[in-house]
Amino acid sequence: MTKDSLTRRILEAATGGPVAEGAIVSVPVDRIMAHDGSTPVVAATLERYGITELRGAERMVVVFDHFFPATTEQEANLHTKSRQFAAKYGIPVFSGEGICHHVLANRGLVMPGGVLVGGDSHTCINGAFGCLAIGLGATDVAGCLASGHLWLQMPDVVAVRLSGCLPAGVMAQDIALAVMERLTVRGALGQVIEFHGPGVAGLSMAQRMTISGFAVEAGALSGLFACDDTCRIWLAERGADLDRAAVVSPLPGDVSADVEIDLSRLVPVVAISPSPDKVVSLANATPEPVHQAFIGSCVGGHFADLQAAAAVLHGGRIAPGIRLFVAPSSDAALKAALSAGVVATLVEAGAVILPPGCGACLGRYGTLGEAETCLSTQNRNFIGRAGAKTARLHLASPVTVARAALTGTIPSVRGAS
Amino acid sequence: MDSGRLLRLPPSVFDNVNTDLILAAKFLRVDESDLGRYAFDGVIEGFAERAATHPVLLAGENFGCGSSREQAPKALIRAGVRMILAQSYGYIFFRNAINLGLLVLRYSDRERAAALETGGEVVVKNGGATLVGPGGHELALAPLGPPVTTILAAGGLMAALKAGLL
Repeated sequence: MTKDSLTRRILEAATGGPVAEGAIVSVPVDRIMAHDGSTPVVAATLERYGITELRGAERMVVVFDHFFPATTEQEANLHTKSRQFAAKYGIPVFSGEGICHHVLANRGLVMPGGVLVGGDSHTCINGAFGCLAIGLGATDVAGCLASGHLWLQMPDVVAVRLSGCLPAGVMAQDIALAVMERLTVRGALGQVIEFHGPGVAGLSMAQRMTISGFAVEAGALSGLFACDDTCRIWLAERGADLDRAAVVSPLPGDVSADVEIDLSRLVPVVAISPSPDKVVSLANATPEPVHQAFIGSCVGGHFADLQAAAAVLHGGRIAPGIRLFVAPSSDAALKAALSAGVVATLVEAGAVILPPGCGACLGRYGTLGEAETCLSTQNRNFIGRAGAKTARLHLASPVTVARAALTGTIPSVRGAS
Repeated sequence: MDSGRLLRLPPSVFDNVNTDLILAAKFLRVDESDLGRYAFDGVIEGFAERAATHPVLLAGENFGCGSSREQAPKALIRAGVRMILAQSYGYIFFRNAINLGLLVLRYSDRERAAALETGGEVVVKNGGATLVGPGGHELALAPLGPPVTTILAAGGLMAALKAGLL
């Protein structure tokens, strides 16, 4: 008997028939996304092969986020090239609205029960909305654009069961890092992580996006949540296509879990350089001097993230010698933070606000120098990720990062090499 | 290309090799034809020179995890890599490599792979099911099936699409 899963339901809806374990399927893609880093490569690939008939063009969007605003002439020229490519095929370009995955969600361009591909590894974030959202390289994106289809092997599923309520001061990043600790960086290789259980209902869409956004760090194609009432309401407000939302309704009964996480038992944690699965609790950490604190990225720059950081920083001042950069994930997050006075609080505490976008996550702004240490709300801390190869990059929640900004130290493991 | 001299990745860069290590973000805007010299820059000294004469890479688990940057496999190809042997791959890297026509093969017996050393001539036999190294040392490989074989035979995804093979 085949195992029921959200992934199976989506692929069977897409292909119109049963899909066997490990079967190779070709599925129509409902949305194709590329950003300013991947679009020029997609365009060049299609040009090289003289492919001008793009069956997926109507489903494609381009988002500028990795280097918008441009910081060099070369980047500006790449933006021009992307705009020209998009104009030729009638593809919309969104710039100044923040990180691609957030722009897709905010504009209602995600579809529960559908298949979404993006030229960015963190495309898995939009699995939070019940769509099979898969990150691809540029040639695969070009192939989807040309054919309108994606081939893939029916992936195995890792079921994570969430229960309980998150304690105060513990955030979605702590949940995601708890999952990383359990799965490790290859615990879901080539698989899809599905999040089920009674703990899901209490999570906001922003929290789900953060959790889904770590899926690829465990090797997964996507991090899927069912589309429940919270999800439907959020998407309906943004005009999303909910026609296939019933495909990914919460699965009946209690799903047999590969990993069980009791949210009520979670504590604030930090993932130590250079791997997102090297997770330790703050309680077991000793202070380590920090040079930079970053609140932002696709998993740490929601309005709620900025708000939580502001609550910690309110009335205080960041430690001498430390720099705090804040990059809202989207223009919507920035607007909400401005209206709520969150931006004022952050700036009064000494934060520098970066444009909505990827920010310091890959070192485009706030590049790390030799032997510097950074505590960040992002999802990836590989060697050299955000600057010098000798820099140390640790991951934590916005609350933990804000606390570190105030004290000038970040938690590190006692006695660790 | 199904044979060549082997380059075993050093122990510190054998498992969980991410695409930031293969090609750092600061080289993403480099012209494609120049990418080869930046492969594993600051990670494996003289990688490009070694790969030029040792086109078969041997790695462990989860090779190419992380960022979707296609410049990572492109940099390896430009450096001269023609085949990669690993226990497992980051799924995006695996697809990218195939899409660019780079042969990526899987083995499971890490102990037998341990006998394969840098400089040894290896050849893929039995329709991709066996790797034979120096002294007839054999390593079982997971055979690739369609559509991967179709894409590789065409020289990459776009060529396969252009030819109407997919």
